[in-house]
Amino acid sequence: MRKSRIALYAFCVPVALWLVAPTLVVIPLSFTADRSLAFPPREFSWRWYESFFSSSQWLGGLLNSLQIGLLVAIIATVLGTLAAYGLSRVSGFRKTFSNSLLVLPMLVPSVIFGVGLYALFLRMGLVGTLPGFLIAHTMLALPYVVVNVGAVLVSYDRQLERAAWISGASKPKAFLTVTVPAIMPGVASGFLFAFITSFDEVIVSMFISNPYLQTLPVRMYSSLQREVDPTIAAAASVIMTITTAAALIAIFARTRRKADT
Amino acid sequence: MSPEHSGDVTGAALQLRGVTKRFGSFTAIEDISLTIEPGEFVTFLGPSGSGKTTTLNCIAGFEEVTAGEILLGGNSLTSLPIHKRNLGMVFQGYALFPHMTVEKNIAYPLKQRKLPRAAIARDVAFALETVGLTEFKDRMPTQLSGGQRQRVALARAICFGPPLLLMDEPLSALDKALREQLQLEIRRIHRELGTTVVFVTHDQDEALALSDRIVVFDKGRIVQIGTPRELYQNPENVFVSEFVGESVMIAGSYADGEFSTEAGRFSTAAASSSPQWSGPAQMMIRPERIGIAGAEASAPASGDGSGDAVHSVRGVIEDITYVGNAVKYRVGLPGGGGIVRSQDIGGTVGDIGAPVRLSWNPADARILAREDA
Repeated sequence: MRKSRIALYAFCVPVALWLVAPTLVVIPLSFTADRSLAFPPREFSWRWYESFFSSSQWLGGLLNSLQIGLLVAIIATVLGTLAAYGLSRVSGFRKTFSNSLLVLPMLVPSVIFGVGLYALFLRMGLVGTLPGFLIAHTMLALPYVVVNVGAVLVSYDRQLERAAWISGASKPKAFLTVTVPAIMPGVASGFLFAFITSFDEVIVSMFISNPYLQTLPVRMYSSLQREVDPTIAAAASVIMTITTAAALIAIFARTRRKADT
Repeated sequence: MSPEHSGDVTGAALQLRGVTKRFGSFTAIEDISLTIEPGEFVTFLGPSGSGKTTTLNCIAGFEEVTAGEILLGGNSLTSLPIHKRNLGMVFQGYALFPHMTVEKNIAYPLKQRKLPRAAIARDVAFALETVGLTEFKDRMPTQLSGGQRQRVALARAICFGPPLLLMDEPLSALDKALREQLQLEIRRIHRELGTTVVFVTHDQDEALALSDRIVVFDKGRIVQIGTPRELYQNPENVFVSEFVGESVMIAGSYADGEFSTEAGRFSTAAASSSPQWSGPAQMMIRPERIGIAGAEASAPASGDGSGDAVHSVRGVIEDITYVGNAVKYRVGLPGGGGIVRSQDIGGTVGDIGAPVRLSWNPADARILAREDA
């Protein structure tokens, strides 16, 4: 028993390191004093963080990403929760069809999605606009909300709603005061995954951004093509910190949900 | 105590008129008509799929009726949305709101009625006291036992003084001792509040213990309505006699005041029912009305089955169950069989396989039409 446990650790720890090491290398790189991305860094410095937070392009990109990410998370959570709720009470072909349709953006390669969207947005004048980003990212984030909320709805006791109705609550009121609190863990993790999806997204965003409206990942990608300067490592560390925090909260909410049931 | 439920408040009369519910081509209930008096405790009894729960769901509004009308206190419920019906309901799975404390759960229906805060506090306190959970008001539902949860659900259903309380198999998730204890409490609360109660169950003992009247459902229809005693002593058909209580059944045919079987012929002149029709029939006798003795015991007078004297028939013991204050024998008879209950007085009439003689007073036999014939 103990031996097999040691063997398990001996196998899993290297695999885990292998998975995250390339990402973690970026963090020490961002604290280098050098002008180039040399590993390991020879001297410690905050200069590239200063460069990041004092550049209007970098900081602007971060603020754009945060704004778009939050708005997308809100819109996708509301729409996705309603969609998952609706899907939880139909069955058969209608359910399978709508479900596949909603999850499709997860499966279609981003480049294809981006090209299609670009052609469409160009005609509609949505390239480089906030509404354009919100529409595109919401489509990409929606599946995560539908899947997360759908998972909690499976174990949701429909009698709770009946109890609320018979107690005198109208259907919308019962949904808000009883159903939503009961499925909150799924809604919360859906919200966070939606935020991360938007905040991290680069390929589709490349197509629909222009110099006036860029998100942080797009800014990073275009900066890579011109100059390689450790500011990008600082930017990457900022993104990683934010997304890791969001993911940890989502995972925490999930395990609590499991512990509750 | 609040004026809404000051003890003498009575519930409203409930009337079902030709209520029918179809799901596509499947008819769940057909032409259900009954009248429940104000303050009456009525149980819907039947096996699963008999339509009792569908009928309850139609009253609650969870199902829309296909045809017919439901009236509460003379006003039609059928066109009202669920949340405007002003009904109390207790569910099988408790259905307590998991994110609210006991107190908030009970306050929920009062808040929907937009009562002032003081009135809500007073009614919640009253309901908590009624179910004896005052000191648990700050607990979450997960911190309560099954019995306590069902008491909270009951408090939530009665706190606003509903004219009709619906209970959908509320005790079936609880163990036997707790179930009996809660049955007593439900009866006490019903007496105190005087509300009309419709209670759904598939448990005949529960129905017999609780109800003023029982409505027996089978295959989407009402098969008999009566007091517990009427149903037990005078079932109108084989289904009711088998579903409510145990019995000995003998198959045969009936014509002109005489019931003929393989085992002999029995006059029904003294029986509690001597029907006018003739045809295939079952004779039913309740277990406590039958005497059992070893086969060698001399047959009671006029054992040939005719006349007014004691009727008797020979059979074989198939199974013996000791139930404490009595012994139950399952006895096989020519053309039938059933359960016989005998006071446990020490001795036995025989082991499994032993021949026995059953005897009964002709007045205790009942002739029922055989539906399967």
